Amino acid sequence: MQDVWQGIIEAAGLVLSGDPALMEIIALSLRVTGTAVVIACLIGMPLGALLAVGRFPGRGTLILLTNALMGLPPVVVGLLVYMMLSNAGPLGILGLLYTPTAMIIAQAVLVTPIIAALSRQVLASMLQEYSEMLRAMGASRVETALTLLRDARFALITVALAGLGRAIAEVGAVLIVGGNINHATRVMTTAIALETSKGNLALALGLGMVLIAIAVAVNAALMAVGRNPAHA
Amino acid sequence: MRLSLDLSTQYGGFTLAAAGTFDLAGVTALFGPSGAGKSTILHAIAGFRPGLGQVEVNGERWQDATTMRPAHCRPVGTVFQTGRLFDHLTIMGNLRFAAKRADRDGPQITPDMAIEALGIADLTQRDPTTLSGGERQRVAIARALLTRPRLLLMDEPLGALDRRAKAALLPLIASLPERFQIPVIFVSHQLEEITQIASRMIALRDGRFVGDGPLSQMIETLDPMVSGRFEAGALLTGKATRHEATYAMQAIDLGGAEIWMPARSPLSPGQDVRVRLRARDVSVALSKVKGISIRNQVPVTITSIAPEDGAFAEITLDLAGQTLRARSTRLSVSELGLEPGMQVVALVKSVALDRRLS
Repeated sequence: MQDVWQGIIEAAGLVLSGDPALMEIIALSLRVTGTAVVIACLIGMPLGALLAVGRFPGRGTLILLTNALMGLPPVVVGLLVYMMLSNAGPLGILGLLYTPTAMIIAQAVLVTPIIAALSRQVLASMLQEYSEMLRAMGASRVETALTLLRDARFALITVALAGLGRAIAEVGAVLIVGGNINHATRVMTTAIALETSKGNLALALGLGMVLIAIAVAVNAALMAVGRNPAHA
Repeated sequence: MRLSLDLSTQYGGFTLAAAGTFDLAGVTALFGPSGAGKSTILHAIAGFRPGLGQVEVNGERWQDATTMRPAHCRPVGTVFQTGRLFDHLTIMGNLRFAAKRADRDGPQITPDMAIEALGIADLTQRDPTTLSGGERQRVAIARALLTRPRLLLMDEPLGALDRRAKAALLPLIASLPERFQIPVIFVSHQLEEITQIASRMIALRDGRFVGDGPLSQMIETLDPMVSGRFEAGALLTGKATRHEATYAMQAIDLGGAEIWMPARSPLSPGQDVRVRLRARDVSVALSKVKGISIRNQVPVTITSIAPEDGAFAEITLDLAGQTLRARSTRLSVSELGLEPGMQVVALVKSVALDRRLS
């Protein structure tokens, strides 16, 4: 019990004093996850719009697939990306394994189906309301998709934040493709795993606090976007 | 404009088998109880329901078993029950969205004309989310007009509005056909709305057309069974005369006879007024009655008496050329010795009067 309290006090000290090692890890985490979510949105949202608005063979299968992939285990994503990027893999020549880029790729793969599936749901329900009006106006499918994406922008922010929450908290994928190398690919979750196994509870707890704070902030942002009646 | 429909479908427990040809001019009300198929028919005309049967306008086949003209190729504008405005655009942006897609050959309706007609000049730079329900519907109507339609379809456009917003919008809707030279089909199950704005009525019940014609005629003859909420009555036309501000009462001249109805603000003298009188709100007396709270006592002549099965009898009355209906009992008819040709007095409570401005 003594250890736990001491760890918490030390952790708070690290966080409050802006410990450089801690700050470096946090910054990398935010950069990797932020980039991954932006990429996932750029791919997932148009894909969601296509699935919501488009009528083409295989659409049902694709919807089923994106929905199923929402629950993709991070370690499996890590394994697949590892196989692609390892020296023996098809993209091994790029030399990306154990770099932040590899981690970004892994998290983007993890989050894209989530963004696509949630966007599709948002846009499909919106299309139900607007489809007759848009048909009467003679809007094409592309125009319809673009109009809905714009009109749903606040709901889509919620979707992006859901992806962010998922990516920043995962550990399996970044551990496998990043390798948890100090000053290179160590992020909050992998650092917590490592420091805990080393018995360095103070740093692990400090990172845990920051991670929880970020999770709380993301959820607060979600609620703020959802509650504002102008954006509902 | 001549509209010819032959529509049929079946889903759930509902059967639609509606066929008929209608001349559209002014505001035509498509009236019937909820679930009668009004919206389905309107959507078929708009082009949202392929495979529902035949739609023909002025001899042009819009759809049948083998052909289907897409919605945006039909010269119609549709106003839905809720505005369905785009929140990411300003009001002006929403109007431009429609104007960009307008039918070039349609009536030359410009954004300025639509904005003026609907009284939304102050709203153009606002966000849709900041508008009231009534304001949103005004914008939705303006947007539908800007597609330059030859026929305007309205699907219970006042259904989600409160009384005040309704009262403000009804005269505006009534003015559209003349202003833009396009007929309007107005779907509603509210007889109060219809009597205020429609010139014609198509009645629908259980997926079938059960009658159509000029509004006054339909109000008189419409089978009370068309809807549980509808009651037989008559539509009377008169002119506004004086207003009694102290008591918030307005006098209406019905061609010799004067009646009083509740009205907070005065109508301009000489203005045409239509009032709907339900048959059950009209009583018959042999002479004027004193010491009674009923204000309106109008001399009339009995034209016919129709006894019904059971206790009731419907008495048709002539009031200076206009028809009035009174619902009474066979017992009363017998006790008072009422007969066609008799001069009697029709008693109408002022509170029973519905108003229609035209």
